[in-house]
Amino acid sequence: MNIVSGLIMLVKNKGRDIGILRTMGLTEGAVLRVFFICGAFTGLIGTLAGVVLGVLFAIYIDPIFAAVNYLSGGGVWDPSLRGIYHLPAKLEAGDVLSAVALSLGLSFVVTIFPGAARGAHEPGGGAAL
Amino acid sequence: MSEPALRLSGIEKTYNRGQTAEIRVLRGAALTLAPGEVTALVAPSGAGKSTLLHIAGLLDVPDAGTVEIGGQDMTGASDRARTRVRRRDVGFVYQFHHLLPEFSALENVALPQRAEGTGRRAAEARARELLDSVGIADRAGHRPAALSGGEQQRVAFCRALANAPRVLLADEPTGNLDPATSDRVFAALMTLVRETGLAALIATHNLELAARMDRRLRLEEGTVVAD
Repeated sequence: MNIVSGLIMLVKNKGRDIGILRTMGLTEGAVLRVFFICGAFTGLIGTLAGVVLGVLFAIYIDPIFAAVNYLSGGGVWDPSLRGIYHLPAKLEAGDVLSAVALSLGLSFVVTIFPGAARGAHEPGGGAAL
Repeated sequence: MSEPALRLSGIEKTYNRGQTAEIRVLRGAALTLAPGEVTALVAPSGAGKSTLLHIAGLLDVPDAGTVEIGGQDMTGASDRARTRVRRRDVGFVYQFHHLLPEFSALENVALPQRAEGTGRRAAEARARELLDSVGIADRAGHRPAALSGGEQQRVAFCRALANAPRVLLADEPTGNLDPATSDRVFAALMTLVRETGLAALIATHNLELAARMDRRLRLEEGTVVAD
């Protein structure tokens, strides 16, 4: 959703520039591609960062848990209250791949809507000429 | 006689049709521009100059009438076809430069050529040549914010002519400049137009400027009349 809101803001901020590009003779498709590349790039960077952080957390969950416990003075996770003595974290290639596919797929799909809304905009009006 | 670069016939345009605030802006406006001809379009504000220019430049669609560019009738043409003709055959200059702020002067001039499929090196070489012809080659690397008003407008002219269009449409191109700068910018425009042999339609309030053009037209009551 952040990609959608970010793109909507980008579309609003760049409304005049989009009008100029359409006036210059860029097709709706070309304008749409600019927004798609922008949104898809954001999605790609976000997915990569998410995979790296997620994998690190899954592998090092115990030391991270211990570090947080140490920094906060202990008692972050009191097993006697919850009855869970160990935080299960198992890295599965299938889980990582499906998360990457979902994240990239969603970011690509949501990119299309704000771009399409603007790409279809009449050139003269968009440029406020 | 050579084929007209632009021909408008019977152009009608009404805004807010059927409402109480209906405004009939153009009532059968017609004009023809020959290649190499610089024509002034003089009219008071609100007379429909911008509407006429937008229709001539395929940015807007008339309610009735035909627009021909280079002999090609654009009536009923698809958005894709109109966009293609606009990219290849029409150049626009407005009162405000409308340059893209994140790009340098050179990149702004190269952009329409890149949209047309010209390679980067060739587009930049042509852009540099155009900027040189209006005396601002040394400002090629500067962004619009670092240019003066006159320089910005000269870059806008170069951008409009980047794809060697048949028609140049300018809406008050020097309206935002002081008289001395306006003179310099207008001289640069005339040089470019004479060198390229395109047809230019320049809307202006400035009668002195209009007097320096080949022909003067007035927009009155929604129709175009010779001055």
